[in-house]
Amino acid sequence: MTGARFDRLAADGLALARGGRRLFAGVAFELHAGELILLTGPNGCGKSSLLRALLGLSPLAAGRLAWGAGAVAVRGRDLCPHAMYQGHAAGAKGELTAHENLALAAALDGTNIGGALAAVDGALDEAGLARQRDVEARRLSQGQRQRLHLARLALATRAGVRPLWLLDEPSAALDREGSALLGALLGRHLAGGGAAIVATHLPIAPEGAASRTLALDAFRPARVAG
Amino acid sequence: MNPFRFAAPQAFYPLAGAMVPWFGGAAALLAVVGLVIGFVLAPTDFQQGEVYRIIFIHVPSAWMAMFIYLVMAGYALLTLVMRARLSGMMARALAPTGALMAAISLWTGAVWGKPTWGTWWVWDARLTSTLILLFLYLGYVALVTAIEDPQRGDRAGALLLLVGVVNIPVIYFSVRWWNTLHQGASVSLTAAPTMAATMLAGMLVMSLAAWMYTIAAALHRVRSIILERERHTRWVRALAG
Amino acid sequence: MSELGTLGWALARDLKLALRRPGDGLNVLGFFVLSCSMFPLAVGPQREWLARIGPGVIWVAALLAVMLALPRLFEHDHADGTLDAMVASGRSLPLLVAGKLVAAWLVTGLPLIVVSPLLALAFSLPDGMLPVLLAALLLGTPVLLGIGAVAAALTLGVKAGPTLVALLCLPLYVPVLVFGAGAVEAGAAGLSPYPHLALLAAGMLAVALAAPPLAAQALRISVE
Repeated sequence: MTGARFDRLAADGLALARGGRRLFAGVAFELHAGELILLTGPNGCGKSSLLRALLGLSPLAAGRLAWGAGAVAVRGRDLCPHAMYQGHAAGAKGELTAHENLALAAALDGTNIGGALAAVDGALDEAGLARQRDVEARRLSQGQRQRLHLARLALATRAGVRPLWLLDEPSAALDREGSALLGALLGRHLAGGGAAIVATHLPIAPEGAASRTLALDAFRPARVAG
Repeated sequence: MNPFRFAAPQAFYPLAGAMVPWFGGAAALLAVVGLVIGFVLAPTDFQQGEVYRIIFIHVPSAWMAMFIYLVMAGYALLTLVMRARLSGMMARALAPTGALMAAISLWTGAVWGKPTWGTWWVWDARLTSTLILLFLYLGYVALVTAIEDPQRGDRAGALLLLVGVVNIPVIYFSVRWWNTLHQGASVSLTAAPTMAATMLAGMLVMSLAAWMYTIAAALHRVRSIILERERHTRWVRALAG
Repeated sequence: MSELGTLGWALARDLKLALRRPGDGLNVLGFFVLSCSMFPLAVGPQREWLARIGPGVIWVAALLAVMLALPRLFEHDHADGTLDAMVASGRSLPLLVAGKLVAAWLVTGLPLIVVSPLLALAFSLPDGMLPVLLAALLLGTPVLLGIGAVAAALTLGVKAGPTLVALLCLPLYVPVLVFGAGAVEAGAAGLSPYPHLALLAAGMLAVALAAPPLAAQALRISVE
């Protein structure tokens, strides 16, 4: 099994406010299976907020989201079970080892097929963390913790669940090898029928697939609204 | 005319401004009438003498402290269920007055208690429950003030209010179970009053006066809150000139 | 992952974390014992006095000890991003919270109950009162934890955190304190403690049903 089939996601007129001011307004896009949208823009323009708003973690000030061929309206946290979200933070418990953290994440994601430990070890291997298997996460370097994220994604590409990937700065702190792995994983995911929206500063090249860019700062509203 | 149009802060602002003087005036008028009834017209109590007259401030403020919390809980429901911005602001606007009413009730209770029971404070059911109510108000104010994001503050405060309002009967019941020293309710809205009709009239008029004052104070306060929240919008900038 | 699986995931995770960080549980236990020990030193060692204030002191100390553990309930997960992962996972957040609460009780509440016989001895409580004390704490500590969890969730990441949590919790703790200490005192006075215990049991049931969804909603508000 190679990844899950993604169906259409259409966004129209999305707007978000933070602390009384509008971050962006009128954001629109359409995402199909096998497509990657790179979300770009300077710090503070709302990239992370948009990803969280798509999942319903933060409220949208305006706009509509529709899912699937039948354009079913997305309300609140509807997308969460179908999405793989990776935020800025470490997302790992410092006291637990890399293996334990990944096993927990896989159980939560539903990507540990049959609960097989071997799958977890295999993913750690693929992410280049085989030697850090039993190292506590707080002793991992920034780059290694980012690779733990990649291991989580690697498990997801094999599991056939969560077809929509929403990643926030996944290539931060990654060396060239790590970035290549990220590209490979994205390529595999997209080829398997998944889709992804990735917020990033750095260039990301998915293996064997194209991407398009959505520059969020273009949607900043005029200075005074209301 | 669509009344829901006033649910928008921009439309509510001038309406509130127009209403404040009316409610303030009504409060002043009713307070004068109530105080005259309470301190001049009502007969002297057989056992407690003149001191009992503080009941005309003590009881209405206790009632209002309770009532305001219920109103705030109502706004809390609107804030959580409908994400109505103005509801969150109204709850914040009412809180200080509610706390004030609870504090007045406690203070007048002490003033009444000293000559009557010989002590400034007794741990009886009614006073203790009012003290706990004061803490509930202070907790709400502390929470919404500590949270920086105003929307998150409104919603967190709303959840707290709903938890509080459900627990108030439980708290009251447990405190009564724990101690019943305070004189039993001499005025009850359902039972026949055991005191002269004049006294009842006086307390009801004072309660009404407190209610009018609460509305006036809350409307006045909510205008400041609206201005602060909406300070980035065009209409507020126009007002500021 | 089934419903029980979701709860089990959170329970197992938090227990494993507690084992790696034993200081937290010991901290709470130590506070409980130390604060109880302050009272004989402060009011004098007369046995009748201690027996009179004993139930109340033990209850207040237990209450404060539980409040000590509250900020840690969600703060760590919030700081390292695992709370976000839980909220975004699409799994039932109330069940995840319930799992965390059961783990928290096992690490925080159970030790208090286990140690309370020693404290009953220290306060010269009559032997007959011990079962009542244990039953009351058994029923009451989950309620304290449940209410505290909602307060902790509301104040996530807020600067005045622990003091604010105390202010929010205390009014709501009053019924638990009244019935909990009341049960033990009723036992001492020769009256039946069952009404008090029954009310505590009802409270525990209500909190078991209501606290996880309320805390989950509070968490959602806090991570918005």
